[in-house]
Amino acid sequence: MGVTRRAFLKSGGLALVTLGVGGSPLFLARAAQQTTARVQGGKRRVLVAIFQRGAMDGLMAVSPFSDPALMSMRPRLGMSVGPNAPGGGLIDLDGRFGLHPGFSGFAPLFRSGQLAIVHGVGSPDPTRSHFDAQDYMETGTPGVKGTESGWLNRASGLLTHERTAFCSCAMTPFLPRSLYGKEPALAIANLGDFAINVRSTNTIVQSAGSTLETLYEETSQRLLHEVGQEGFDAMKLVSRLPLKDYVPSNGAVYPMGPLGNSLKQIAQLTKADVGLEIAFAESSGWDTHVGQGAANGIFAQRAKDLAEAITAFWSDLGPLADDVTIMTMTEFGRTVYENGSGGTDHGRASCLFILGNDVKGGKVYGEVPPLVKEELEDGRDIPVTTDFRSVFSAVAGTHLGIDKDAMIFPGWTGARARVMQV
Amino acid sequence: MRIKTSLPIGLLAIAFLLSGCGSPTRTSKDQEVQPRGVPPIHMPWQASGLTERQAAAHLLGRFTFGARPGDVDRVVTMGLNAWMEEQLRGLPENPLLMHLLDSLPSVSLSNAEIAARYPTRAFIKKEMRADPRYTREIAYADSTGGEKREFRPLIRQYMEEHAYRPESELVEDLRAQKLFRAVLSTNQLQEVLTDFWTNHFNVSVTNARARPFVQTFERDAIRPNEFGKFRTMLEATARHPAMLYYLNNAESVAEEGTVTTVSYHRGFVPRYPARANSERKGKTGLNENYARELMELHTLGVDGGYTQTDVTEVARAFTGWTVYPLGPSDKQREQIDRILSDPRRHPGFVRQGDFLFRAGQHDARPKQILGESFPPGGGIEEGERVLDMLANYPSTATFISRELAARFVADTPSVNLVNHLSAVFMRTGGDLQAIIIAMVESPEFWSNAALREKIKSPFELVVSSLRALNATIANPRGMINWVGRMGEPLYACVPPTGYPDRGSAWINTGSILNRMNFGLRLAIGEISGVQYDPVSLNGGYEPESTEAALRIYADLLLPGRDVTETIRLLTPAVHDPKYAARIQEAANAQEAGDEPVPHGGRWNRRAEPSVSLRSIIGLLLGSPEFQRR
Repeated sequence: MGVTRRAFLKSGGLALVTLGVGGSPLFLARAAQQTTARVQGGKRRVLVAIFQRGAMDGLMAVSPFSDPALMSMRPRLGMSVGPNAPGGGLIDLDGRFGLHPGFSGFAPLFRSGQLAIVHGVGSPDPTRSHFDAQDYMETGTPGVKGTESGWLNRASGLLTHERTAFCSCAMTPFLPRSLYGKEPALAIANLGDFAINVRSTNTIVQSAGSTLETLYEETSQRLLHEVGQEGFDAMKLVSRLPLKDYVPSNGAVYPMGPLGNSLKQIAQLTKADVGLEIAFAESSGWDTHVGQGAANGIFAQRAKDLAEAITAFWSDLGPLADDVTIMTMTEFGRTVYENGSGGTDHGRASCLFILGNDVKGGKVYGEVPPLVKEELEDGRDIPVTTDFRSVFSAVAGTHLGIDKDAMIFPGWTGARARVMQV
Repeated sequence: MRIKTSLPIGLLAIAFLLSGCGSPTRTSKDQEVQPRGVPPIHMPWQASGLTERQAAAHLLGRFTFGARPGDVDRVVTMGLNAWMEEQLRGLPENPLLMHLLDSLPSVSLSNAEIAARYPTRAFIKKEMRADPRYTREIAYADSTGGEKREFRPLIRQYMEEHAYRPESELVEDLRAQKLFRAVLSTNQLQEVLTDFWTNHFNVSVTNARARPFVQTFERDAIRPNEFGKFRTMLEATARHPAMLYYLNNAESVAEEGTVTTVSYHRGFVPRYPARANSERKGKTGLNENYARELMELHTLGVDGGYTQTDVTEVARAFTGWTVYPLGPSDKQREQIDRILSDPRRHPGFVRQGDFLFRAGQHDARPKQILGESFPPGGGIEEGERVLDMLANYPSTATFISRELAARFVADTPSVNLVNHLSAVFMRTGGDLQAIIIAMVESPEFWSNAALREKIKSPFELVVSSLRALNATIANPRGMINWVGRMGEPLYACVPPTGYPDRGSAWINTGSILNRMNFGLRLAIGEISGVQYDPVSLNGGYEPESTEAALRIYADLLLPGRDVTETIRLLTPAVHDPKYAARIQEAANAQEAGDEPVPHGGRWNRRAEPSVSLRSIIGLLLGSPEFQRR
């Protein structure tokens, strides 16, 4: 890429915003449309990656209820199909797998073919350390330490549309590992706070923004310099967005909490057409070592939050849903048997959800073996039979129209999972 | 089979003295630091080509929470080596700090007192159900499902009658004491080390069972051991209720049907029908969480050379390590006290303060851990032996050394330095004071690569701002909220890894904006509960022009640093030709007895120079230079 990002902003249509010419969001949207019209590939599409931190128990999320061994391995945590079944409540998906009732919002999307589930998915590296496994999944190089960049950052480097400050956005207070790298990415926990916010009318304070911008432009500390500049660019764009009094479309109601908040803001950015292509959000609290609960309890609450946030987001998007695909991921799964505290310990494979109009939904892909000791990894865990990279490359590659899988996942030569409509 | 006690009395006594768990109420006076023995220190700062002022600024930037006005000069006057020795030795504490700490009700309570005075919501409701005065209200509330709203005033009333306080006050006190100490303590090195070690042995108030005991964890397990041996601190954290709950070891017990220490010494393996053995009530087996994090995060590090099997075996070695009943209920305590008083019938049980080893829950099968054999019939000494092994492992020396170097030298410390500190660790048996000394006596600490290289964490930024401004804190809440907003909610790091110690973790577009907003608003006086007097920072003299103000305050807030660039870049923004005239106007108004020169958030139009001064200070606090330490 010959033109640097900042050079583009200074010379291109969006630079007019920084001069204070035409402050309306409509102007902004028009400017964005003008630039995209010049570029191959047409309209921008958005990939939303949701990381479930803590290792979601895939076996409870999507349970092979027809396996007789399930209940003996999980006397307290095992569930069966139907709302009145003892310990029950699983929603039958295909006669073999049942969806945990907390995820009930997903059921209609599964039936309509928009939601796909991949089971038995995980990392070829057997680590059961949260820290390492998340690192491997986010850098996209399992088993290799010290990879500087994240897979989403490398993917964003392959996008062909003209870059804006909002190309890659994580709605988190820390920039996630997936977005580390040389391509610019924003970490914004809350769009509403994204401005210099001091009440004083003193002239020095009023122009503090541009004064500080100069300082960060000139500082020799590399990190402060780079991130500072991105911040100021983004600030100017955000100041033009109609954020207050946002009413989600189609009566969508986001659940209270960080994930609902993040997805609502991603919806706003998508609608404002500011050049968003890769969005990242997090759902935490999945590390259920103690008192996991079955139909009710910690797991059920997290499941409900996740599903309600995603379905509200999907509704809110309205027609824009055609351009957006969502994929969940988690660092590993959990033990098949329950532990001594009514929970589960770290395991290997888990499952993930993919939602989009370009998804071949309505199916549970991947493999879950019979739940007997001989079939399990180390005699305790669901084995990984689908490498997460085959799914990530399929979803990101197909949806965003990029095809250099070896660049996104160095060292990966496998095939894409067949989960998308090609 | 002979019954043997499983812990020699001497070790027990030493452990009791060192950990200090379960001691009676103490005032903050008891926590005064006793002077420690320190060898003479020789820091090679001159060889790096630094001026004495630059070297002093660097030392303060790393081993304090920020220089206050005049600190750099004070250190230069007394000599850098002498200052460092003093910090290592320990100084009498700031009386203002002691006074503030005394005003926080919970900071000197024991675990038992905390459990009694700050019971959980669930416990209160259970008690209320048993109280005949509330039965009708409770039944009504339950049946109508209006539990939340109807209940709250009832609960409040009940709590008042019993002098119960809400748990939220515990967390507020905890955060307030951390802020007060960091801003005001004369023992800055100790405060910085406390921040480091509490993060290393992370426990979080987000864990409901650990929450009440996080405060005593820092106070009793971490602080007393920062200048001693690593093994001692490790032990203290392993036995503390906060850690036992946070990483679930308190509930980890031998699997059903397994031989335990008790049954081994009685010579049989009993069956365990769930009801027959009251010790097993509610618990059903092994939990590996603590064992894994003990090795991955506390000692060896993730590549330290342990396997998944080791994790399981270590978990078994720590079965039975749990918490002595602390809640207001006496029944559990009576039961365990009866057991403890009869070691012949119940061999192997140990109580030490709030720590309890339940021999009846300890897995007494033989074990293989990190290549070493543990014979059958073991008791509490198995966990002790594991801690010994881990504390002496070379990987632990490297891991701890690297973390310390990352905090005090550079995000990615040199391999040379880490190896050197590792060697000191191994040679001295994990002497933490010796490692600090080795670090400041190393050329790497003073190298160009280390100078101003570290980015302040949100907490460090807030505290260093308060210290630089000599601010007074009427209410710490506003400041604490800002630390959280910038990405470091205090004592609330959910995963056991603790907060990462790298600039790239703290700096992103959102946090940079928050830092700038923080600096500006603090300086202008828009943060409630804090105030400072900008003019007194300069000895009471209002600078004659905004350009002069910039020069003077850049040096006051960034002492010992090269501020030419910062001043050059800020000059056009602060230039105000009418400034001098307005100072004169304000001075005249004061003589005439008009409104006084304002401070805090209020300002009047006549005293605009003060506001300009504050704005300049705000720009300096938000500047990239101030983000570095």
